[in-house]
Amino acid sequence: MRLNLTSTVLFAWLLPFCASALLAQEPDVPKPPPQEPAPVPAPAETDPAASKPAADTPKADEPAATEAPPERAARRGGRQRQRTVAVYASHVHPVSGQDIDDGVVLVRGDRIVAVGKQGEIEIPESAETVRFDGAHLYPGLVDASSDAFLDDAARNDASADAATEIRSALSLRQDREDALVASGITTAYVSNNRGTPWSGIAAIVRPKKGSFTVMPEKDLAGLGLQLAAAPTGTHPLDRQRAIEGAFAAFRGLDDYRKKFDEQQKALTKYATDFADYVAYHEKKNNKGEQKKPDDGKPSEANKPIGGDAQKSPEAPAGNRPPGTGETPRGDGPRGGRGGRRGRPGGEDPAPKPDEPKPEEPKPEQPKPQEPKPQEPKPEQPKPDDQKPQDPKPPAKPSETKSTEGKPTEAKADDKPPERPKYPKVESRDPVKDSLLKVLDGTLPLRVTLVRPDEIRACLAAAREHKVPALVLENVLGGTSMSEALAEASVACVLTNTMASEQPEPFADFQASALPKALHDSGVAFAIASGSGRRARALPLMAASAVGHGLDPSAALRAITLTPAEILGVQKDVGSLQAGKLADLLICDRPLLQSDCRVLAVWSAGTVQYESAPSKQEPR
Amino acid sequence: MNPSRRSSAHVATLLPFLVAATLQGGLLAQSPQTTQDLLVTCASLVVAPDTAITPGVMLVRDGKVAQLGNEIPEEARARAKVCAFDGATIVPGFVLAHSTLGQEQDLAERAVALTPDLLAAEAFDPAGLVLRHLPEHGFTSCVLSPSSTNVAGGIAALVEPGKVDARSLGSLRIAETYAKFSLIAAARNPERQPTSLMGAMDLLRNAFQDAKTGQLTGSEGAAFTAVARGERRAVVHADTRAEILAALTLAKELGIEPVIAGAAEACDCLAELAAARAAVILPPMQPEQRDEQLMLPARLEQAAILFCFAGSPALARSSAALAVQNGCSKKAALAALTRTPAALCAAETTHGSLRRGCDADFVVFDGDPLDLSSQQLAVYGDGVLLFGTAGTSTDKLADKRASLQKETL
Repeated sequence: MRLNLTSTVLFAWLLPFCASALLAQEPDVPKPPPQEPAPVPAPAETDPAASKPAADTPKADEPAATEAPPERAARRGGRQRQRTVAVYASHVHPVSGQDIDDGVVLVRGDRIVAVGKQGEIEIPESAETVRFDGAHLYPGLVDASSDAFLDDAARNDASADAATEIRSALSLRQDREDALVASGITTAYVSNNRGTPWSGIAAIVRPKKGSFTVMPEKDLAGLGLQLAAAPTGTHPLDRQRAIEGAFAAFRGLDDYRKKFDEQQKALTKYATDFADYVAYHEKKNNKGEQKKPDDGKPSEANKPIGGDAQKSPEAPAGNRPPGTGETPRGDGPRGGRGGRRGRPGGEDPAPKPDEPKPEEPKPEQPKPQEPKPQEPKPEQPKPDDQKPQDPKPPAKPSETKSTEGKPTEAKADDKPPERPKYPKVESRDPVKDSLLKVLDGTLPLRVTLVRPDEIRACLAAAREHKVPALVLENVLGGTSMSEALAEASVACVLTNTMASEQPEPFADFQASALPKALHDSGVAFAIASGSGRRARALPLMAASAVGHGLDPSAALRAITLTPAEILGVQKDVGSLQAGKLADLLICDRPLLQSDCRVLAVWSAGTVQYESAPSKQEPR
Repeated sequence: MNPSRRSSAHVATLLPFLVAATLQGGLLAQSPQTTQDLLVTCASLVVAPDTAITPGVMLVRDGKVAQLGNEIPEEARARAKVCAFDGATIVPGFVLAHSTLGQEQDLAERAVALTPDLLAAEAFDPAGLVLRHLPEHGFTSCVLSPSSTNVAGGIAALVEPGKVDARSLGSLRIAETYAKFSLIAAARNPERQPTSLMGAMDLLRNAFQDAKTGQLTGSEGAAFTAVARGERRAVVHADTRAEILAALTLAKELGIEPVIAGAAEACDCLAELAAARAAVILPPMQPEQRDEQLMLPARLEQAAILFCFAGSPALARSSAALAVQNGCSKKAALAALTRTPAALCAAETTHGSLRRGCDADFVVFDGDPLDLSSQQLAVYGDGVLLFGTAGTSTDKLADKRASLQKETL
């Protein structure tokens, strides 16, 4: 009787949670194409402890990232009235292909539909026409390094660490920075460059007239590491030591990951056990009315949990390979909460003193991990039905202390299984989490360096720690290291291609010859402004590289498609190609000429800057 | 065979050799005693910012521009060594209007505020390494200017890079150019007079007055008098609006057209600068500067105020490109690197353009020099290659000599 009461109370507690969880997930369910699962890869990231707050506040506290991806909004909502515009220009430079004289770019909504020669592209009758006679049309520029849209506090935040997110600083920013879009930059990688040594996680923004948006799913775009020693007389060995010291942060992450993997397993197990426990009591409850357990009732009672368990792997983009029985990952927190709430009312063991106990099996025993995958097997055929009938005698023998009692109790059948104890949840270290993401390759590591010996030490350290996505920035002294950079397949972001006064130790680095040297060695490199204040000079920087021997098409690529590739956004920006965002830069003469004037800039199909009204023909 | 016939036969056999020898001797005798003429050809020869010859041809004799374009006679063309830069643009060598060439310490007499008669030329170090870097950035001449820490610093000199002998990397071209004055904070030293802007003005005003009335004599008095009479250009280092206006006031009192160096706040007093017919020496421009600064050259051009760039030679061309990007015309930007600085140091007859009689200082680019995408191919000072690669060389005379020698043998 008491048991019945307990279980009813438990369900009264659980049902609203499960229901709310279901409701919370509802909007996500019809969103089958989270095509690119947001950079939430590591199993470490997605354990119940971490996903709990996320489930409770679904991205609401995330800043600009979620706030307005207008492109997407346009795609979803405005489909029925997407306008089509044919943009004519005398010279079209698609970057991804040959230049086209008398070309046309057909734009529908926010995307490019077609690019080609006038007369060869079919223009729908309904299309509006915009003409730029004598003009040059380029894709919107991509600035692979900028500090635009940050306030001074964020820009000079020396206290930044590997977990500091620029996106939160961006969301607080109230000012505008129109220079970027006015000079044709429609995508920019924004980071703080002054942290020591870790400068936080950068975001990719889409500059707009009077504002900006953070690029959807690119709000965590790269982890910054500042390793350039000051231009003073430092010893090379000291610099090497400093670099090795910074990379030492990657040590011991395996243990950290393992700990949370095990915790994850313990939580999964807890969820399963708890489901069984509830099912048992539900069955008991029903026994009073029906002797034989009916298929309907217990399974129905399980549904919120079991059903939830089926959905949960879907929602968080399946970090756990959907191992049949042990799925209810998402239930961990809810189960945990239910458990906690149940404590005062039920026959619960004293919560605190007991908590360490369940923790023991996790770190100490790898054993329970191994049988785990087998565990679902017996349960798999009829998970919901079998459990109540013979509550896990087959799977239990190898299980931990708390469950050991179960088989014996199960034989008695009327003795309830012991209530599982919620495992102790370790708090996560956000710094280690972002470092783990770097090791998993989901967060590129952007290291700022100057001297050749720093580059050499960094490449060695990255190799040692198996950093999969490494991007080097500045690389002023990289001319002599171009072969090594090519061998390591490392991309470079050059922020110093224009003549500048370098301090004495850097004076002999021949920064202007660097782009050609990298190009000749086959290193992927982008030319970037490095600062929002230098944004307007980005074409001059590329021109300067041409002035020192670089091929003009390579220089143009270095401010468009290559940075897009380095930032991982080449699917959307970087060239004039059907399917990409309609980011257009229209100039009165070739972009690399000093007297080139920007006539208009389009970002995702909308005009963001216009210096002279374009000739728009009536339909 | 009679002896006379034999001898005539002998002469006949020798005749070709004799003719060849005469021809060769004549040619050699006719070639200039010093160096052979150089015929420089290119796609476009920018003689001065507003004059270009297309296709460009220039005859260089003894390190000077001898003749240009169609005026070069065929005979001279045939005799000169041809240096061809196909498709290239040639512009006059750049002139740096203000520099200390890394010798700040030697160009300031700190204890005394007024040293108007000191000659920067006397501190010139021909082995200074900075000279080596000038041609790398297109500069063929540079003004060595007294430091700005003295109110009246002395007289600047024009120096030229180029290997003179085993040790020297440059040489002195004009010992006395402009007189240097300074009103900036660095000239107002708390340990000696003047300590304020008004003190500096008073000091200068009195000095000019004393020189005029004969109270200040000797080389100091002569230096002030030369400026007051307009015989020597006065370059005043002034940054703030107050300093610039003070300099303009003094210039007005003296009735001279000053040159303002630095001029950080020039955008706030354009009308005054224009009214005083002043010229401006701007510091190098950087992309991160405020729009106001970046657009200053364009505004100066609009106000018909002459300007040029000084400071680090490495930044001069990019400064001009930035000026162009921000609305300045390419003509004015090129003038800022060539003709204007030459004019400011009273060397326009020899520097800053490629007119007849000018020094054959020129820079070869594969495109427009004000587009940073153009590559700097070569730099010549006085007709001698200082940096880069010489053009495709053809020497008809040498070929002729070689063929004659072949025939003779």
